[in-house]
Amino acid sequence: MLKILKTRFKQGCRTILFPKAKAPDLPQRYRGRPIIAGQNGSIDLGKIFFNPDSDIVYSNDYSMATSKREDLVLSQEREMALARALNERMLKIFGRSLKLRQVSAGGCNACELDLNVLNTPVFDLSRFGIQFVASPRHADGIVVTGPVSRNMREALLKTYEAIPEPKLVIALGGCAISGGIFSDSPQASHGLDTIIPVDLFIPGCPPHPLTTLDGLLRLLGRISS
Amino acid sequence: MALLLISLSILIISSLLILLFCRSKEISACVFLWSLVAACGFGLWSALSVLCQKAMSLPLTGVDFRVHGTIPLGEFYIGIDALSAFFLLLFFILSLAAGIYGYGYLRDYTGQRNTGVHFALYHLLIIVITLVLVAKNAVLFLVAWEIMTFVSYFLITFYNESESVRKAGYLYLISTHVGVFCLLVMFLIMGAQAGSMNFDQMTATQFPLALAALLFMLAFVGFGIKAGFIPFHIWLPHAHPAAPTHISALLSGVVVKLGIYGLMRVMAIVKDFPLWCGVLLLIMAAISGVGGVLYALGQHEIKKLLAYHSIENIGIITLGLGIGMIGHAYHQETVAFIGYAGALLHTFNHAVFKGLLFLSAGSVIHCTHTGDMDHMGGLFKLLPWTGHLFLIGSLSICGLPLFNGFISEWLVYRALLEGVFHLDVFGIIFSSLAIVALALVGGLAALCFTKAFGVIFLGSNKSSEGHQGKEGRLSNIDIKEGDLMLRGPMILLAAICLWGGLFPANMVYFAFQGTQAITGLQIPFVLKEAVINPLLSATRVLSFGGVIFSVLALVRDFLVLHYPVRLTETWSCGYVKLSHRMQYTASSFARPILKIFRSALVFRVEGKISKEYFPAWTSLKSSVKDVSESLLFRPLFYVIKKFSRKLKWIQSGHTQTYILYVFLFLVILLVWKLI
Repeated sequence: MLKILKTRFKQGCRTILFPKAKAPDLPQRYRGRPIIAGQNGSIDLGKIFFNPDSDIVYSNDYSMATSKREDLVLSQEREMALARALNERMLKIFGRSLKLRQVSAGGCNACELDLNVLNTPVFDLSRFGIQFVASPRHADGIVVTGPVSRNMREALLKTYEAIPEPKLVIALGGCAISGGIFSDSPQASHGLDTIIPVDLFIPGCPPHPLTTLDGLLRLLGRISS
Repeated sequence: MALLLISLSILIISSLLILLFCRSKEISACVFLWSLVAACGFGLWSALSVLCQKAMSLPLTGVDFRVHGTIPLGEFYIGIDALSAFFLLLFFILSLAAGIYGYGYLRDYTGQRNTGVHFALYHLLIIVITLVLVAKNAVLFLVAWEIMTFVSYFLITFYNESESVRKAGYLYLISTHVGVFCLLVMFLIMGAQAGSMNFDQMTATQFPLALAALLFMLAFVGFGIKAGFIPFHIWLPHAHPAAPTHISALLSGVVVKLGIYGLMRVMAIVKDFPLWCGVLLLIMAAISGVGGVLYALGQHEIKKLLAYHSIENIGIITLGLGIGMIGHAYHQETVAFIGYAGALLHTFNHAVFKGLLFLSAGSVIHCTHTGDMDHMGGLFKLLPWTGHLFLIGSLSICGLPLFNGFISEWLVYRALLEGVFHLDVFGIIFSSLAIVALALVGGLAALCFTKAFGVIFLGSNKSSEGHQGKEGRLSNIDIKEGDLMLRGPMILLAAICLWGGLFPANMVYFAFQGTQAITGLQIPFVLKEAVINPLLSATRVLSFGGVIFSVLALVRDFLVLHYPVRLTETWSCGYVKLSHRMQYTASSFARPILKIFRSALVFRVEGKISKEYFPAWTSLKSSVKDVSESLLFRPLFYVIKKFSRKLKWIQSGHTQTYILYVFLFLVILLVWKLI
């Protein structure tokens, strides 16, 4: 234990200052929000996989989470509508303490892994009062990852049912939003919002921890655009 | 006395009337009910009038009733002293409650048996138990005792179409007969010493210490079998489940207590015992208490569980008696007084709350048609009255504050603590060990009733899946609360439980009156005050806490009123095939604690737990084997059976042989006379 404390002391505070200060610069390789200018048609953030081989040009911008499914569709005509804060009553309840339960509904563990990164000292999610809990009975909402396979569908519904009212639902990653690469499969569903009402969509495959954090904070009204 | 005689004559006349009208179910039941109420009312009045006397008149000559020269050595000689009155009080309360309940219980009975005969036998049982309690002549006592055994045998075997009931009845009959043999010898020795079979002369006689020890051993075995001390208890857990509910209540509340009454009566007669008698009683009490509650933990059958709890409570009562005897032997009268008073009060309290528990268990069995707790569950919403009343009984039996069990266990603790302060090293060791045993019993009893109440009333119904398909629950039409005839007696008993817990002064005072009759000494007023005052202040503080708690509960209920209530199913980690059987059962709840004590009792789990990912069909069954039954009595009975089989040739079945026996006997008698 002493060793750990010593190491911690030596390393100092590693937590980023975001959202008070600008987030640290992301590397060139990072593929954030696609640049729509100069491209024809529209891009659905919930359906693309952010892979380097496609024709899409990516920017370095990590803010991509939205409150509505249709806001994820980027087009040349209009500005992207990022996630809005919850209404006043919900903010009064969840604004300073939000407990979430994670449900991996057939996910490949990439989203789950990057969600886990939020609990590291760098992002330190709990400083915003957001925590992951073990039981939906203790939770205010669920974070769903994966394409909601047929076998997980009922378990997901039961978890949703078990959370006390009022509750939040967050769809994390392309699979949860639209079925992702499984969208053609009869075993997967085509988007979480076809099953239960969703309050926050966080696109990415998987979403960068900053994207997720940005989305959560926008939902709680800590960041306004 | 006159009141008691009125009550007895009402019972005799009405039992004849019931037999006369037993063809008509309605008339006999009606006569039964009203005569029971009248007789118990008069009986209670007579008992209370004796207990409420301010000063103790030692030889209660004014209230005796005597018929001279009826049978050789014996005469019809009855009288009420404070000890009899105390037991009469609890007996009439319980027989009233159990009788009314029995009326309600058997009203819907549609079987072959004639309920009129059952009711007449019930009256007869009340008569003979009253006689046992007020007899002042040993022969009368023994005769009444024997009739009581027979009558209760017939009452127990009401459902005699089933094999197990008949067997339980035989076991009861045989075990208590062995006891009577000891009692006969004991009373003969006493009578020979005193020169009379009347208790008055016996009390006046001084018994040598060695003889007193012999008498104690005889009384201990004779009355101990009735009272159900471990290891003489084997009849008890079989007879209680076999009997109809109201009879089980009476059996556990009164018939078992008569063993305690007998011991107290012998103490009142002989008075001075050697020290080791008290120590033996204390040790046996501790074994009965701890053993009883441990066996109770292992039971799945509700009535069997309650039967083992009777053994446990007899243990607590006997702890009080034992420390009283030790105190008496040391001439520390304070210890003796409080010990005896604690024993008496716990006798009363146990009769009340165990009666309540048996009756409410009976209501549960009446509704669910099973005694197996693992098939119950979730009954609290369907049977709110029974549930709450069972809860009151459970809280009382656990000895929790605000209920009557607390008061009497406090007295027993107090006596043991007085023992620690006033006795020498030897006494201190035994008293402190007894305190440890009592504390262990209390904790385990609380655990056991958490189990019983939780498994029966909380959760959801476990049997529904088996009976009515996957989604079907036991419908509300199927299970409904009994009417006032079933509920009324339980409410009466529950009210006494609460009254005894909240306003303990009267009952403690009555117990002291009984104690004076046992010891034959006047209890100093200072001592009474010293015992009652702390009790009163403790109760006051605790009831204040109780009031605050209930106000908080009401406030919470009021606040919640404004929020919508949403019912969802139990969270099962997303498991889809959730079933009602995936709950704590009686066995699984008790398993961790039984594992700790597995060296002390034979705890067995049959079947094996599958460790594979996808377990196939598996079954588990846990059981607790009664050590004294399976290791002591069964081998003993086996040997006796084998031995008696060798003598079977004597009983050939030919009439000629029997005539030969008679002839030979006559010849021997003639020869005897000639010599």
